[in-house]
Amino acid sequence: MSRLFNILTIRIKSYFSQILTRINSKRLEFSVSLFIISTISVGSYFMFLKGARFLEAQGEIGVLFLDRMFYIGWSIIFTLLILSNIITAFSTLYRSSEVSFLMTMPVSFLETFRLKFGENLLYSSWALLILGFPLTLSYSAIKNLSLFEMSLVLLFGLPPFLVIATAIGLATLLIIVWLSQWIRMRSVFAFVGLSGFLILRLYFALSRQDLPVLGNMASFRAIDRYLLNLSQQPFPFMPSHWFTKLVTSYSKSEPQELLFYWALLILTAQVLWIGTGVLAKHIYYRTFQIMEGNIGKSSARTSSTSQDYVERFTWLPSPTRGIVMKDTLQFIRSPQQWVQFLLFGFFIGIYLINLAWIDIRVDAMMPFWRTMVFIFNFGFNGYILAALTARFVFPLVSMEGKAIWIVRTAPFSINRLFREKFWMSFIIFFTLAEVVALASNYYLQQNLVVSLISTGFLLMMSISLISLSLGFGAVYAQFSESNPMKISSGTGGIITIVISLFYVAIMVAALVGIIYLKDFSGMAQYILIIFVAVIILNIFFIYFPLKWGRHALMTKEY
Amino acid sequence: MIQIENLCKSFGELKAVDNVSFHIKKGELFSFLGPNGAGKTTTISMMVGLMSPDSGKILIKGKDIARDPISAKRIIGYVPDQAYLYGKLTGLEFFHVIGNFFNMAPKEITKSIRHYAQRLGFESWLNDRIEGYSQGMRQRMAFGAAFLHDPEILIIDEPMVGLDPGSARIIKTMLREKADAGVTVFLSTHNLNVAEELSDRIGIINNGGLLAMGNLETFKSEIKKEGNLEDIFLELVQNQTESQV
Repeated sequence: MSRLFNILTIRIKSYFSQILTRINSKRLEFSVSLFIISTISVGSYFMFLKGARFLEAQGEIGVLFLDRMFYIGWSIIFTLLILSNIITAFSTLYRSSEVSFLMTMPVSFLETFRLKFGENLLYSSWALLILGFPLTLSYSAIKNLSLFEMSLVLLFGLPPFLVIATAIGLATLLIIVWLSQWIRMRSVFAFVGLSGFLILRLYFALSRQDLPVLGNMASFRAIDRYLLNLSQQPFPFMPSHWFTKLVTSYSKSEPQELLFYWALLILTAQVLWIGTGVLAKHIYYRTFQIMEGNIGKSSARTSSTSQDYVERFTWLPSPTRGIVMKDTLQFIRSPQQWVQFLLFGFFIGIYLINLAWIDIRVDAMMPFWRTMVFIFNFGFNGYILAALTARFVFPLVSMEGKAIWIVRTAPFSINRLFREKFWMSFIIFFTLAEVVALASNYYLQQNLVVSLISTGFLLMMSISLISLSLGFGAVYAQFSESNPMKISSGTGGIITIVISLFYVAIMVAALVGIIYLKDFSGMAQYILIIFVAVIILNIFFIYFPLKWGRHALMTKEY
Repeated sequence: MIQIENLCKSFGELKAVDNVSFHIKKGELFSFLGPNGAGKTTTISMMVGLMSPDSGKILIKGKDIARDPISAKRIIGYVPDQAYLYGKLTGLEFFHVIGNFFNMAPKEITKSIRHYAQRLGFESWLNDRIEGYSQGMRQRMAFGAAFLHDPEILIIDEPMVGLDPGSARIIKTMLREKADAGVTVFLSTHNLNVAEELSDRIGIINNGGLLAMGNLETFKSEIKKEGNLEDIFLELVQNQTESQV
């Protein structure tokens, strides 16, 4: 393990030197990133704190809700951590030039795996903790824990929690890749995804989450049943449950419970650390070979079909057809890309299924609450669209990579490349957003006028958010980076997502304004002013990012 | 066919290309020689539109690459020194993409692929993904892509990088054939044997400036020394370095 320590020391030194160089050479970029991350963290903290105070003020039911929200928050973080680990591990375990180098050295596979385990843990968890820290700090503030006490809980509780998530993620990927020697990787992923969905569905069905909603909420018996349900729901075998228990038992001064859950986290992390080690010792090298062997493997039949298929789009100008063919095939053949896209689809699917299956009794709701549900749903759509465009559209220009010379020396203008990427993104994301909007409007029983307004707003949002991500993606293009996740989590990506969310917030506010003026205030004449303002805002968000992006690409030298 | 006039390009204090001018005729095979960092790749990058000059003009068959880049690029076939291609595509798909970029009809693309795959010997791996190719295979693919639309001008940066002797021989033969058939070939290299063997005319560049232009005989008479191209090249470069010191 001393070799591992040596490599680790070199890596840490190299990271620090990179960070220092970055701070010195790109002060402005570094300051902007730091400012944005701090703003998100502090903003989230106050947002969570305000929400928690509101719930606390509602009495016993509010406190129960608060505990449940805290548990759900960490459960989501835990799930996302596992998924994020699986996706990041593709690069760290198999696509890293360092791994290829180490495999030729007299270093054991286990040592290499351990090194990459640590690296993966760091890469996959730092961004999610931006959400986890404010959530925990605000919850602790409500539970009257001091900052020192909170730091103790995080310091001792978080590392084993992260190790558990990383171990599960990495073990899952090792097994998936190992199985892929007999079954296609797509099929294994589909099987794992479907199993995950069925387990979740079974869990929700057994825990009867919709029970209180189906009952008559005016009855005390129903509320009683709801409270009983809430206290039973946390799943006792989830590490996120153990972690949240650390905070609650500390706040209740229950040292035995605190020690129990801490020991549970430490022991599980230890067992999984050893378990993944054993697994890696036996199959890591084999899986590495499988992935190396997968490079370049394809069937002649598949390739000729895909190419013939695109050649059929004769109505497209020939160069555009070439770009469409290239971009489509590259996307389909990059598991990092389509797995994440499927994950988004999976979450959206769950949201729609929940809307469809839970009987919300919209018809019995007061108009105010019906509008509230509609606005939350619209905001959710906007948020999904912003996240999708920042994750998938932003890296599109950078994904041209070192092969950018091909399109820059080809006889067409850079506008064509921009237009193709814009329309491809628009067709996919607008369709997706509209499906979600139409389905949710249907389930929420919205009237035609409101549905039309939201459809129009979504159209504008799709165009603006895609323009923003595409334009900024060109301004902050990183042609030497091949990992789309790293591209979208860089400075430019963070700036894009923050601006996108800010834009979505403005659009939601504008929609609220229109609905308020239309239904509640009787001052419908002002609606036109909001419409004009929204159109001007969207022109701004479409025109300038695309203009800056195009200019950046035209003037960039390769 | 190619006209370069007073071309200049600087990166900060460094003058990468310093007032370079030359003309290349139709059907001529021109070699651009120079040591590492002499300014060869920068000149080529400006010729194919990857960089813009600080001053000066590049005319490709009378079309200014800065003002009318699309018309100029349409008649150029370019092979870079490092052939980064679309790794996720198969060779066949890659050629179809390139063919589409150059407005070729599908039948024309298929015919051209068949011809060059056979000449350059990559028929057997056309259905494999490029990410699995060796450097030499990628280099051959890059040549295939540059030849695909039968360009009037070929601009090639370090043609022999990564090629095995057999492939290098095929490429040299094809370049000479192209030039004989009326295609203008601009070759940048620091491989003196290739330049000596293939070129109609040679330009020597060092420290961003054009040192000499001509063929082996004119160089010999200019510096009044006998020997091969290597001796002449080293003499010229050394003379310039000494005069600068």
